[in-house]
Amino acid sequence: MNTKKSRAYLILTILALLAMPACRGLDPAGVYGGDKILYDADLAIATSYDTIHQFVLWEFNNREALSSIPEIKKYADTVRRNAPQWFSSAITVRDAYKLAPTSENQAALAKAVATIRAALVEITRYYVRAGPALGPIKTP
Amino acid sequence: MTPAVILALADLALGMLEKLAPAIANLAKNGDVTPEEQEALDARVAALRPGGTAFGGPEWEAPPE
Repeated sequence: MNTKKSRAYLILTILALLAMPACRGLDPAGVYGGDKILYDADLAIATSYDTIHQFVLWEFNNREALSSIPEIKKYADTVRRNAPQWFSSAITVRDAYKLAPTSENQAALAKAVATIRAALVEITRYYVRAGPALGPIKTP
Repeated sequence: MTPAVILALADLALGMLEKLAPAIANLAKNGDVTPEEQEALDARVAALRPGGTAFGGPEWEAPPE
């Protein structure tokens, strides 16, 4: 797949993640016990990690080609410094919600997931800004 | 719009469809998320807990502020 397709696919994937609440119901015999809020939060956390990891890896592997847009490295470094805390916080409130599914814990969980998703919006902007002229996206 | 541009756009659209097909198929699945699928997701989140290796690669090394 060429560079333009790769980047378009990444951007579409991110947009799909941002728009996505999972549509399917849950088998109540599963580990989520039918708790769709918890399942959707975990799905958002896991898929967001994949996208964020892909972004820092892309910046790492294409640093020289991306040097003409220093804001990309600056934001990637911001992500590197903060992402572990974002995910740690999200998982902490996720665990609190699992133990006590109150409206307060649900709101805290939604806020933590929104923080991570805000990073995805920024990442999409940098992919668009990088444009198709740069080298191929090197992914694992 | 020249024929070359139209062909390039068509090529791009086909490429995206090819890649998105599995995701679209997943969204279109009928029935509940199975216990196995739920367990797999739970394991993915567990791997992101502090102390895991999710943030350990060289691509995660940030310079000091």
